[in-house]
Formats: sequence, structure tokens, C-alpha cells
Amino acid sequence: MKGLLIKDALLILRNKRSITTLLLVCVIFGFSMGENVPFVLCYTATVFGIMALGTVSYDEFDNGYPFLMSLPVERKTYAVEKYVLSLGSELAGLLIGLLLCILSAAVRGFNIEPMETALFALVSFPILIIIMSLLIFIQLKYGPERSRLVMFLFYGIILAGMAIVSRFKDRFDFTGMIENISPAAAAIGLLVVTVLVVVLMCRLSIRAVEKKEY
Amino acid sequence: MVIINNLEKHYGSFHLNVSMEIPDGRITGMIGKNGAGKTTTIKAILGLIRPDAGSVEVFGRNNKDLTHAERERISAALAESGFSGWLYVEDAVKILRSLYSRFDEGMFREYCRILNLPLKKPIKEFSMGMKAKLRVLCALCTGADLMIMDEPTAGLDVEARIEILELIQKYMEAHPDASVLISSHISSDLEGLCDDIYLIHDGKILLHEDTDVILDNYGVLKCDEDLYNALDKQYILSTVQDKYMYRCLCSDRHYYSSLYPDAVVEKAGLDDLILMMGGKGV
Repeated sequence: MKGLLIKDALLILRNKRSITTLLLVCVIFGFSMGENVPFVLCYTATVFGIMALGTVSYDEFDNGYPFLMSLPVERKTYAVEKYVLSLGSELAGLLIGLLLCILSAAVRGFNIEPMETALFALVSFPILIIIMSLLIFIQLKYGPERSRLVMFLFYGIILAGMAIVSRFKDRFDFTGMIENISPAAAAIGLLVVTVLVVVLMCRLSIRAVEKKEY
Repeated sequence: MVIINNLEKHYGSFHLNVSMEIPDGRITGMIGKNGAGKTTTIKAILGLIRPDAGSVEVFGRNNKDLTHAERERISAALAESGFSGWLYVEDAVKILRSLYSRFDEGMFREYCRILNLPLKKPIKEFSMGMKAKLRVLCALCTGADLMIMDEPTAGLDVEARIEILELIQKYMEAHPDASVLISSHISSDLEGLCDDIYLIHDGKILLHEDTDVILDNYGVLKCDEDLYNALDKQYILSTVQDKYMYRCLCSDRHYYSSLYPDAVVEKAGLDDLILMMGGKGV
């Protein structure tokens, strides 16, 4: 896996123009919107995760897969490495976002509520991980081109779900149901769901990569 | 080193069905027209595609079950597939170093200098020849026991082709136990390099022979209809009839030269094999 991580890190770093632009946008958002900690954290974490996910496209670019899969790299390792890289990058993005908010607070003189920020980070990070796990699976299963179409379907399903929830909001007290869950139970539940989704998506990704022919 | 047993792969109307062997310490060539099945065979050896039937054994084990250490002993230079164009050669060094425990960095850097491959330039800015040289160099410097090369000289000028073939030859001199499978439709590249040749056509192996035997014994006999009708055909492999004569590919030209002293019997090259055995015979 070390070789693959080195390859992907180099691929990201070699794309200087994109990475500089994205980092610059992160810094601008971090400083100008530092008081909106949730937004900055989500933004930087997502940007870093997407940057890592983009390495799947680089791998496919110029018919690169046959060579890549002829290297002493097991297909399972290839799929798992994408999870390690993307989820690791999201975590790095989250920490960088936090650092930017703290720097912004120090420079611009506003306060950041440490407990509130930590709580938000703990809640939002698993959700981001779940979304990223799904995205990695879609990319590995369908490839960068077809995955765009699948993404539209994915967003469509989410929107349809939201529409259904809003339709039945009068019959079911969703807010009340959520408020009745204790913070500890919610945290454990979220953690369990996150682990389950990551493991499931990772397994499905491994199977997708193993089934592919190059 | 590699044993392929009744390997089958079907793509629509194309059906591959081959058996072949790549022995230790030999350079085995695979010739055939475009679409004959060379790349499919190579992909099956490397495990890039799943066979529909048959098996591929590498180092005495089914290629599906190779250990990581065994996979490190295989390297490949594939046609039009290599490191991402966004990377630099310097990056390829770092990646290969971390993937192959026997990667010879000194040799790699030395050959980059000799072959004028800049270390600090994106690979996508390389010429076709530079990319081909880099692909072969990457395969050679991993210290592999088995090298698989798919059309390593395709689309290159003579000078670049000679440089690549010399690289492979030098590697084999330094690693006499290593094996190379090299496919090409440029037969002259293989004539001076390979120990034995497989001719593949329409997904089937039509011929397997030592290169020396082909070049020393095989011939093309040119004859008119009368001579053709009276011809002893025991060494005739294939016959092509054109407007004025019959051209017969034979596996013993000396036999026909002595039997029919007035007939024209020319030496056969690999191109003749491809054209006559892969064409429409009589």
C-alpha cells in the first residue's frame, strides 16, 4: 500500500495549479468565514477528500489501469488504499479547517466555542466519511465517466427521500424523535452506522475492483 | 516459467484458445497481425483479464494465487499504458522503489541519462519514443525474473527501436535465468532477439518454432501450376496462389532446393510466416 499512497500523494502534489487554487479558497473561506466554524470544517474536509478521490480519475487517465494492475499490487489493496487516502485526507482537511478558524479568531478577535466546535466536528466527520465512502464505491465501480450519471441518480434518491420526509412531517414528529434520543445513544448510533457503511462500501469496492478486467 | 494450458477468452466474435510455454532463460516472441490475440494472451498472463477456460501458471502456480513476493518477480511494459502522464520520472523512481524490493535505482538513473530521459519533466510531455523507452526501462530495472512486453517498439523510429531491443538484450546477458515474452507485429525486431517464436492468428497458435530454425530452414518456394501439382508437399505449411504463381511456405527449404533445383526457393522471414500462415491459403 505504501507504493500506492506515494503514487497518489505525488499525483495530488504534481497538480500544483488545482491544489493551490483549492488551498487558497480554503484559506479565504477560513479567514473570512472563520466564525462559521461548521461551514469551514465541512468545506475544507470535503475539498481535501474530493482531491484524494480525484486520483481514481488520474489512474484511469491515458489507459493507466493495465499498467497499474500489473504492478505488485493486489486489487484489494488498491481499493482499500483509496479509502485510507480519501478518509485520511478528509481528516486532514477537517484539522486544517479547524486551524484556519482558530487563526481567523486570533487575527479577527472573535471567540470560538471549543465544546460546540468539538461536538460539531464529531458529528459532521462521520457523516462526511459516510458520503465519501459512497463516492469512492461509485467511482471504483462505475469509473470516473459513468459515475457522474450514477451521482445524479444518487442525488435524485436523496432529494426524493427528503421530499418524502417533508410530506410526512405532519404525521410523524421527526424533530421530537431526534430530540428524544440521548446524546450518548446518538453518538454511538452514528459511530456504528459509520463503521458499518465504511466496511460495507469498502467490501463492495473490493469486489468491484476484483471483478473488473483491464 | 510460464505455462498456458488451453487458455480461452471470448469477446463477441473473437475467440482466443492458446497453449504455450515460456521457459527459463529464454526470450520468447509472439508475432501476429493486429487483433490476432497477442495482447489478450499477455493480459491473461498478467491477470488483467479472467480466462473463460484454461489456466495460466507462473512460477509453477496458478497466476490467480501468486504471492506478493512472486508478483514482484514479474514486470510488464505494456503498449500505451504506463505511469500517469502527470508524474515525473523522478516520481516513478520513488514509486518503483517502494513497490519492488529489487528495484535497481542506480541502473534506472544511469539509463535515464544514457537514453536522455529527463527526470524532472512531466511524462505527458514526453515524445512517443521517450514514453516507450521509459516503459521498458521501468520493467527492466525491477530485477524481474519474468518480463512481459507488449509491442514495446510499436510506432517508434529505427533508432529508438534498436535502443529498446539493446536494453532487453543487455538485461538478458546480465540475468541469464530471466525470461522475456515479447509481442510485436514488427517481425524484424524479433528475428535478432528471440530464441523462439509463437505465431498467433485469429486467437490460435499456428506455429511454435526456434527462431534459428525458422531463419535457417524455412523458405518460400515459388512454382507454377505444373510444379505445384507435382510437388512433394510433406514440408509445405501453407500455400498462397496469386495471379502468376504459387508461393509455398515450407519448413525445409534445403529439401526443396535439392529436390527441385530449377525452382526458386527463398529464405523465409517472420513476415512471410505472418503473411502466408495468417492469410488465405490454397
